[in-house]
Amino acid sequence: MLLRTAVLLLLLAPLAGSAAQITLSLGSLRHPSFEAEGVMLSFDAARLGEADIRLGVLRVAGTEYRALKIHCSGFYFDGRRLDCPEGSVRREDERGRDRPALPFSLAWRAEDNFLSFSMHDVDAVAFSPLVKRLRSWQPKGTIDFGLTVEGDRAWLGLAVRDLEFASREGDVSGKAILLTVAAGAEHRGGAWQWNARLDWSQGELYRAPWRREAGVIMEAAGSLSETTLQVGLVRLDVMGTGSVNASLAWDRARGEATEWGFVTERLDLASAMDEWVQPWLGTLDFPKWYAAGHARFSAEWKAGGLRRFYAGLEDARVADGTGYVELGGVNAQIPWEASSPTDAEISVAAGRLGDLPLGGFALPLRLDGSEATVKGLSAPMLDGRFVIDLLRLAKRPSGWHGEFEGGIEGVSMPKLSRALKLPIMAGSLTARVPRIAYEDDVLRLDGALAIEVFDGGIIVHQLRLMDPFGKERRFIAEVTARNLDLGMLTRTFAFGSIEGRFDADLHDLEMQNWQPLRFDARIASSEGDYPRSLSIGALKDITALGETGQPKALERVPERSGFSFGYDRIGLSCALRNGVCLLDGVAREGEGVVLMRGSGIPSVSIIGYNRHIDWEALVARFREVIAGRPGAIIE
Amino acid sequence: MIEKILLLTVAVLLSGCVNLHVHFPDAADKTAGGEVPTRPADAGGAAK
Repeated sequence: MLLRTAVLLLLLAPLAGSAAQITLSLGSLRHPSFEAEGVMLSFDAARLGEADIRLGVLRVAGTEYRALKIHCSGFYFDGRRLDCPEGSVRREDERGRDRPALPFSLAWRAEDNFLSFSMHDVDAVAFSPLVKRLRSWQPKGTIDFGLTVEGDRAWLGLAVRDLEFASREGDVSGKAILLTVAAGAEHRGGAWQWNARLDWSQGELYRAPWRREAGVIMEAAGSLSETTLQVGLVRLDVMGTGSVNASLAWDRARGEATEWGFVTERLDLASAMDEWVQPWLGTLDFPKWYAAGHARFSAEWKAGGLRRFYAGLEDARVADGTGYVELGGVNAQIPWEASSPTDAEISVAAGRLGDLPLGGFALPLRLDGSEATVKGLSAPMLDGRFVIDLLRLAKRPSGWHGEFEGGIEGVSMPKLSRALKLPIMAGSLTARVPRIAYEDDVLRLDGALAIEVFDGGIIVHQLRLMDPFGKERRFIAEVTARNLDLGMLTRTFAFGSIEGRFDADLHDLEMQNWQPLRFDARIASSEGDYPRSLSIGALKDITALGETGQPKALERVPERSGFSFGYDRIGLSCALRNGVCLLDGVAREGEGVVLMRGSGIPSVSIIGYNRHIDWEALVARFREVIAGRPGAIIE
Repeated sequence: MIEKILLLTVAVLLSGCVNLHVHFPDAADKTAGGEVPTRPADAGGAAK
């Protein structure tokens, strides 16, 4: 085709010097770097050096452009040489005519297969003839570009200054970007062997969900054939995080990667977590985690799936977003393979589960496909142990599933209650959890949790923890307490002294951050024969819960120890909704409700008023009443 | 004399029977908006 073009030009050469508009149809042009079809060349034989070239189709680097008009000043073409030192490209369609032309410079020689194409100080928006839908990105900034091919060798240079852009959706944007790319290539054995260096020194890039400041240097080498792009080795230095070595094979026909892999050097875990891992976990609605220390990662992707992955942690600190779980001095080697199960080695120097401190332990983790299992973990907790008999997490099409079996063994209650900032309790605690299942973001306890306390029993059943790893974590349960010793309870909370026994039901209990959101509570004296009395201190404390001062009835009562009032029955209920507790009692008496019916001599009846009680205010008063008393630590 | 002693005894006994009226914090400002309980808590097992 080039030969046909040359012949045409030779035939027309005698016309040069006479005023005539000449239009030549050149058919197609082919070069290793580009292809053009429907090429029309127009020039005025009287004005040499000015020419217009129309391209029906232009293909460069796999991208096709249609209806381009190129104007050249200083134009020269003789079939074996083409010069266009001052050119401009414009799209000929309706949109393109209103847009600025893209200036360029082009030189081509057939004899030594030379091609030079360059653009200098070009406004980014001027690339709209070549970059489809560029206007919607609102580009700003200037660009230099140069491509030189000489025989079997090629060089490419790109410099971008003050580049700004943003997608319509806002998920991709760049700000004040300064970057340079320098690449060289040599054509050997049917493919281009290339190397390149990218230096991004200024600006900010956002690609949802990731945001990255400048400070990235990339050096890469590989080969480019008609079918594949091989990146044999790319080294990425990311300021503040560390370095990554990676490789990639790209199928040009299918437009997708056939395999890739990477190995990081020692990375700063806090930076890697904040900038790379956490934004990604956020898109998966995975709860936020904090990490510090150092880490190494590697991965291998092949045949449409992840084949291998490795994560190593060195002296790391890991904590969940709510501050509930914290692990320190974590060292881990966690290998994962798609084709076979692997065992990870994880050791933790110290940790914390809520307010409970954990001693050092080793975590025996087995990974099998998309399932992780921990069996037989034993971590020191206070003077006892926290035990995991089984912990299994699995990713299924419906989401994350998990199950837990374990418990707490031999933890002394004084230490435990002190750690949990509860009133000091005696004894030791051994609690086994038969099974907790995690599904649909809900932790659910199978069976019931039975606790023997205050000489009676408390059973917690239908226990559920909603959104357990989020800040909106809510706790839902049914609680039944039977035959609790009221004397032990009131003495523990240093709330006077009330002798007796009681049963309690907490129905539909819902708590957030250990604050009740709702419940239906009912407390009543237990059946049976036992002493029923109130100390004068208890009466004064109950009075202090009220809004008025000490009633006159109490002023007549002698202030001496051992003096107590008899009662027959306690009965009260509270339905809590939106911070309001609706009070009820044994019976109504006028505007009030009888909460305790007196009996014997002397005796006391307690009548409560204001049936709609401000729950927060009541709890605050209770705290004030017991504040500073020995034996009670309530926060 | 006996009547006086009996009257005094009854007076002492009556003075030992105390009715304690407790005015709990009123939630009047909270009952104006939002859902508030209108039915007492279910009896449950504790009342039986």
